[in-house]
Amino acid sequence: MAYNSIVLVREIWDTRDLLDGVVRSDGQADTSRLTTRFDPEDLNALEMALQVKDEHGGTVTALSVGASREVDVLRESLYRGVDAVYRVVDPVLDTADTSVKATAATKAVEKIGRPDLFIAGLNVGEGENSHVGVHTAQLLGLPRAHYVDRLQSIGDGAATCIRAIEGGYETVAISLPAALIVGVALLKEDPRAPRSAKARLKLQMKKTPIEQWSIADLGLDPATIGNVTICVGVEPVEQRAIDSRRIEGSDEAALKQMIQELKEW
Amino acid sequence: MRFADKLRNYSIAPAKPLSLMDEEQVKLDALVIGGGPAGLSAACAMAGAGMEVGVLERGEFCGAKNVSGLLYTTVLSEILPDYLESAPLERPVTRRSLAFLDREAYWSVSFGSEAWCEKPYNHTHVVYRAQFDRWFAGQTEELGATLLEGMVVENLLYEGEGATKRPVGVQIRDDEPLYADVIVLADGANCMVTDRAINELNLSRGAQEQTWAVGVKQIISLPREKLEDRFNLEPNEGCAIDYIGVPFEGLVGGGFVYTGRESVVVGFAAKAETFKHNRVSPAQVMDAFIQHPAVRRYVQGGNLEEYSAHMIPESGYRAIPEMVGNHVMIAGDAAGLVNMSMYHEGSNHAMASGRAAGETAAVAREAGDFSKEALQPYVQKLRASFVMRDLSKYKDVPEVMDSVPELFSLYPSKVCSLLIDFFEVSLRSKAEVQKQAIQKFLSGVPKLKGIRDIWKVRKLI
Repeated sequence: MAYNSIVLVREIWDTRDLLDGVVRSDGQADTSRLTTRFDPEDLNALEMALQVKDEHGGTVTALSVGASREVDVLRESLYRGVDAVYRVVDPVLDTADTSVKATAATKAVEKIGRPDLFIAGLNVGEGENSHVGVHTAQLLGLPRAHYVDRLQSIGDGAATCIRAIEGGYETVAISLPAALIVGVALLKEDPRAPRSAKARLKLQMKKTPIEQWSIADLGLDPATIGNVTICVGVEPVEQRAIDSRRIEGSDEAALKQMIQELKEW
Repeated sequence: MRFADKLRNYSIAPAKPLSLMDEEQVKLDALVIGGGPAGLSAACAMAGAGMEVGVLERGEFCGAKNVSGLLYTTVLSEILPDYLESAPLERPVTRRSLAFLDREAYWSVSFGSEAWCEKPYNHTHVVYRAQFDRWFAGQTEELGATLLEGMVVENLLYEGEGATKRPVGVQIRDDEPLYADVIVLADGANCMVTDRAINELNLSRGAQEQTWAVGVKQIISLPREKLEDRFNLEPNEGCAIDYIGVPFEGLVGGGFVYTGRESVVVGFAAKAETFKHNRVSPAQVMDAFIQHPAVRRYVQGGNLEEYSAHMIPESGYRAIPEMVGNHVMIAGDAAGLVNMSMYHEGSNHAMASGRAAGETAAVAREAGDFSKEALQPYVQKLRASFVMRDLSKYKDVPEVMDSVPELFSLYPSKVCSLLIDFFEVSLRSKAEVQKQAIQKFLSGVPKLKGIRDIWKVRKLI
């Protein structure tokens, strides 16, 4: 049996290799010094959907809420073999909290047509705190599994997946249609690791028009969709001062001294 | 509308009809392997001539695999005349210095010109290649080329045998092959694809085997004001200092310091095999260099932002392979087009050769002939340009550097101690001080050897 999936994909600030001066004195990030990337967990989520399609047939649709900044995650999704992509773009979304994003995602999913699987990565960056995926599932009224590490099997109207819990893993069966919120760190060699963009698709899809919807197009009123959270302040995490001490000598006595000092510390 | 209906109605139309394309095979006019200065220049020339071009880059983005350095922009200014407006250039080089280091002492010469502080800034800029190449790639894309980043070319695909053997496409890791009429190999210093293609197509290699230098760099950030004070620079000025001497004792190579906007690049390049002979690691040499009083004063208190290394083909003219085969041209570092004389120029040659390859491909396409003979104008263009003329002029450089190892340590330190001794303030008479200084300077080197070495070293200039 074929399964249709909708995957929520996001573009996030790339917080690898940060330079000095990224955190301004008021605690906010100086985004002019940052680049962006495809949220790695969304890429894992996309791969999960594409593997379901490869094995069982069906379609994969990528959905993105918010304007593209540097990396167009929808185009990147096309290059990896999704069947269709949609973007919700609206000025309201520039300062939107997770509830607004989840509401927009819900309406967009309904507009596309309800899928068998709604899959999203467990994004914790940019103030999402991993809310949007679960919140969207809740608004769609879908049963959901959170922190999904892998999809074990799918069939007979249910998906069996393994989710990470504290100190181990839990296997859960969930009836379809369902929402899976994927939270897994992968090595490159892992069979769950995301595929890379395909050259042929890139050549074919680089200028394919991408359909965009505004908040109003989704039947929502931009005037009343306001945020439910108000950010009253941001504080940078204190940088930990690391004292280093050099112990001279390369003999066993020096080694013992180092071990002793580490124990005392 | 139902989900499935929606999908059925979703049509995917390529923006431009590709010359040959179905589910199984994609064929373009040209494929460029490597998104550095050579590859991007070739792509600009071909895309500008209306060709369908794909640039395959193994890094996550163009420039991701590269470091920082001096960029000479004469060719760039012809390819993209507006580059000064939008390219991420750190600082122009408005002052140059050459410094000789002894253990603690040093001497240097500096020169610069007001003219270098104005456009086009003597066509010399400090750039961070990760940023610059990415920008260059963006410009290339605007001209119509497609960037295929994060794609590793494993091999070329061939058709025919013997003299008619020709590459028809590329095999990409974990992906389908792509096909093209002509392929420009610009895979840089560590050019595994070019190397294999030279074997497959039976192209002749250079008279000498290629040898490599290892370049090691640190980027150290400094607040802008502090940097400008230390180097005595105005906001739109920069400097480049070359060093030879004691930290590089026994190595064939030297160090450099460049100023970025809010950072200093400190590094050195030396012939790879000389590390082994001297039983030192590049990291040890880097430490000794950066700890030298003449260098330390520039960077102290700064933060280490990046530590990187890169290979440089350094055998020059005599190691350049045959650069043309049926349906293929080799450009930039992959062809070993680096001038290792005192000018150490590479990116400019890369751009010139890439552009020449691209222009040649565009002409060949008009004639519908990409045979080895039809692509010969590429080599002729290079021979007529500064690229091959300079490389030919400096063809003895690698040999000279190998045969006068004293150049990089003994001689600089001798000149250094001559000056130090000459200007030592003491109770002795000046005549006595000078006599002793000159005696010390002349000791330890047979005169004839000294004269012979000076004669040889002229070839570096």
